[in-house]
Amino acid sequence: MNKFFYARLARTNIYKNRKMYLPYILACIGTITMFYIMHFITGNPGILEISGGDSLKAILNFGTIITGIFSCILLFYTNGFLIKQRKKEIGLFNILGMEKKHIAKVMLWEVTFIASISIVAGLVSGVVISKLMFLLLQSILHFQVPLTYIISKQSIWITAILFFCIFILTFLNNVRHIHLAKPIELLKGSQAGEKEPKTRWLLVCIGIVSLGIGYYIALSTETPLAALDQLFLAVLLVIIGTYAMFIAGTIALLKLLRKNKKFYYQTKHFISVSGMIYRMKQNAVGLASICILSTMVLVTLSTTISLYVGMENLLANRFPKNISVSVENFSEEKSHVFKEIVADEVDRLQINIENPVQYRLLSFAAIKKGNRFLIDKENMASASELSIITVIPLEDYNQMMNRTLVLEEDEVLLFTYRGETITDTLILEGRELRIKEELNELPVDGIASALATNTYYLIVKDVETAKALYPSEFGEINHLSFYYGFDTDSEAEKEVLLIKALSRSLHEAGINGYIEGLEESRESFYSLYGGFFFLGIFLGTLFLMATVLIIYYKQISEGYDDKKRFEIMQKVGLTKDEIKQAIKSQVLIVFFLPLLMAIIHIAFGFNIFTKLLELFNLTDVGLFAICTLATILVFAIVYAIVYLVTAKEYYKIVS
Amino acid sequence: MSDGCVSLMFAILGLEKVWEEIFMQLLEVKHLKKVYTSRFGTNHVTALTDVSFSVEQGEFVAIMGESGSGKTTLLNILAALDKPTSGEVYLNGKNIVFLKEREISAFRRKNLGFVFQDFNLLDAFSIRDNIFLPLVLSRKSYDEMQARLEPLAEKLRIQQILDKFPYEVSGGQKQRTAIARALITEPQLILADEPTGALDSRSSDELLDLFSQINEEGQTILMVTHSTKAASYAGRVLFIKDGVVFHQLYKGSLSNEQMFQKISDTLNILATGGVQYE
Repeated sequence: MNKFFYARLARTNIYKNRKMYLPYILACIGTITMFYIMHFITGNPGILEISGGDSLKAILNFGTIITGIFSCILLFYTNGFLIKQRKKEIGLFNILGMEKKHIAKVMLWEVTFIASISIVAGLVSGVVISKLMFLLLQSILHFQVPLTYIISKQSIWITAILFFCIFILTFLNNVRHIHLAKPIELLKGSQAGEKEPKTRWLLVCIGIVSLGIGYYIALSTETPLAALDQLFLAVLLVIIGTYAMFIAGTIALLKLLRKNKKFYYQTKHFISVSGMIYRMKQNAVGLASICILSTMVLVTLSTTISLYVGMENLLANRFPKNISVSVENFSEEKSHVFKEIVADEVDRLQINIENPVQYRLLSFAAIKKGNRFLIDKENMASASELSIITVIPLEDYNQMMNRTLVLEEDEVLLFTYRGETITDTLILEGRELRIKEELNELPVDGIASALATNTYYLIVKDVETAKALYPSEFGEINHLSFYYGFDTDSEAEKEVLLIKALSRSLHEAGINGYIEGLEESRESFYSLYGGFFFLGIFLGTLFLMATVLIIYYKQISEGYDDKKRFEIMQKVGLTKDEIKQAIKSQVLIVFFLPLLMAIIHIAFGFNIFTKLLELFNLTDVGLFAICTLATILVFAIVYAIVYLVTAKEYYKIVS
Repeated sequence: MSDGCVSLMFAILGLEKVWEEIFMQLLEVKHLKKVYTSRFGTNHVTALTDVSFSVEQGEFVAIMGESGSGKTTLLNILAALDKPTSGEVYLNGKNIVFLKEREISAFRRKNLGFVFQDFNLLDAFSIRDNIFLPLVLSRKSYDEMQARLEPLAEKLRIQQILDKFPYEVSGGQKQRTAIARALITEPQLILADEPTGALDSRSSDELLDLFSQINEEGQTILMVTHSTKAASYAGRVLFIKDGVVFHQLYKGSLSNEQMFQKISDTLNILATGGVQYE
């Protein structure tokens, strides 16, 4: 036999099935491009030169791994679909006298063609687009990232090897499929008469219960740390619930509809309900996957966009004052030195201090149970109940807020920063304190925002009372700590210089303090959250690509299955218009059910994601809501466009 | 005197019913011609050259012919699934060739019942729902559908399987379901396309007996087949060859066996290229 016979046959096969293969090859090229870009950017040494580069690199690294794993799953899934559709053709080869090993040979050629086209095209487009993505990353980060080289040989190699392996795996899977099947089964292929699915009430129950619990967790989460704790469980439950509901819930619902004779025996419902029962059996898993993917796209994009758009908001939360200084064990003499140093440096740099706040304080962690605070050094880990208590002497408060309040020994003023507020009395280590007034505002240190725990500020009678409240478990206290925050009238560069100068001078004077500033941190915030945003866009695109691909194949395969059904209906007396109507309502339901479900997930998850964003210092719920809505809107439009395009293919097949 | 003048005369006399009963055929096919043209108009294949025949109310007519004789084309035109190149088809005096696309489906639903070789049942529907399908399309109420189904199911012996699905029942049962689906709309004419083609001999016999039975009850049946056995149950057999009605046989008082003999003789003559003669 001509040695090119198999290669030629393979080529013709791909060409003949181009409707199936083109999207697959495009998906291969797409994933290869994305993986290369991700790997290229992550491996670029320029990343490490920027402030916060370590965390950016970690984020991007994470993105690379996700892209790799996801590409593998996606290509495997799509390939499985292709082979199912081609079973009949392969069965024919078998019956015409080709042995299975010959068929395997043809398939090897097919895989070789597809792999070489995809890898070459993917790498070329990767190299071209990576430059573009680098520019995008730069503009997101708001500063220059030095691009050390244009093409990374290492990235090319790793990408090529990874996808080569994936292609080999898909080939082996195809051979396994063919090897296991009998020729007659292959011939019958996908059209083997399928049984009507049974209603699986147990699965329905599991679905309802896990969705219910998942939603409940999401809705009832109150603190950011609890959100972090519970998120994984909630997501897992919702994923399980989604699959169960799509697999069993839809069928149970449709069967109930079918039992209602008045509803069921109407032309429109008759055809779509029965068709859906039948379709759902094959498509439930695919639709559930689309739903999960859509949810992932929406969550990733809405959260990362919010963080990015809300950057100024979260910087303001994190840094209520442009510059803030904290000093521990702040004695009288230190106080004098400190004030001198600050005055000197400010003079030297010709900076004017604006809106200064200062107070002495003591902070410690406690476990909150109702209105009781317990100190338990061993079990401080339990996230949701962990609180920070900060004690401030009244004289500092009065001075700062221009008030003239007077407190008794067992009286306090309470300011609640995040968390349930307490009324009347609170009990700290057995000491009962009466809350004289609940404060609405207090200039607090940005650290409180960063810690993401519930923080309670207690204003107490005097320094001695404050010291007395400090739990002995945490050691002896000689002097209180000191917080000093202020804005300036100068530009960013000078503020950064001031921070450096202050830090050096204080250190030389033997004062242990912590100085941080808005401008100094801005870059690392942008590299961290900009990195998230970039990753969000990137993964969002990847997930979207997967969604589109799955939808496309779903439509095509359903088209072939439905063709026969609609032919029969036409013979029995259904008009073309009625058929179109029936197709339309069926396709619409199948198509938009996952999107609808995804939006419901998002709605229930909104609370927990809001709490999570607080962990990232973002407290602007309105902004997050707007970003979420905008993301949903854009996604729905893209989804609708995909629908229109694929529906066209579907109609072409059916009519 | 032309048909038109006579019918007008009867109409003037208020005797349309009498005219219909005396003269009007249920189905009249006149000079049907069908030429298939390939996509670019280069090839012409003539499927039907010139076919004319008529079927009276209550007849059981079989159309025989070899593969490629134009049987299927003829049936498709009768079913309004395809349009002839020229010629006319009258069902109950109405020319179905000129029906508009919108009217065709309703016409098909009201007047025709179909029985196909491969049953054409929908897997997604239970046996009951398959039978209900045309009625649901005509927007009949559930009670009426159920009322129509009961006697029919009993006659066709499918009461036991109504709630099963097509893949759960035998070929004979499937074909009886298809007949039930065809009969439930109380059509003027049943069109059967090789109804025994996919059945074993016992199921075939049962099915043909059933056809004879419903024909005796007054149902008009037009069946396309190339099975001599199937055709021998019919009251009249038309032979189609090369796109024309080549010959026809009346059963008269012959038994099925005698008819069978007569048909196979005719087929022999046709096969050996005999002249058109009766």
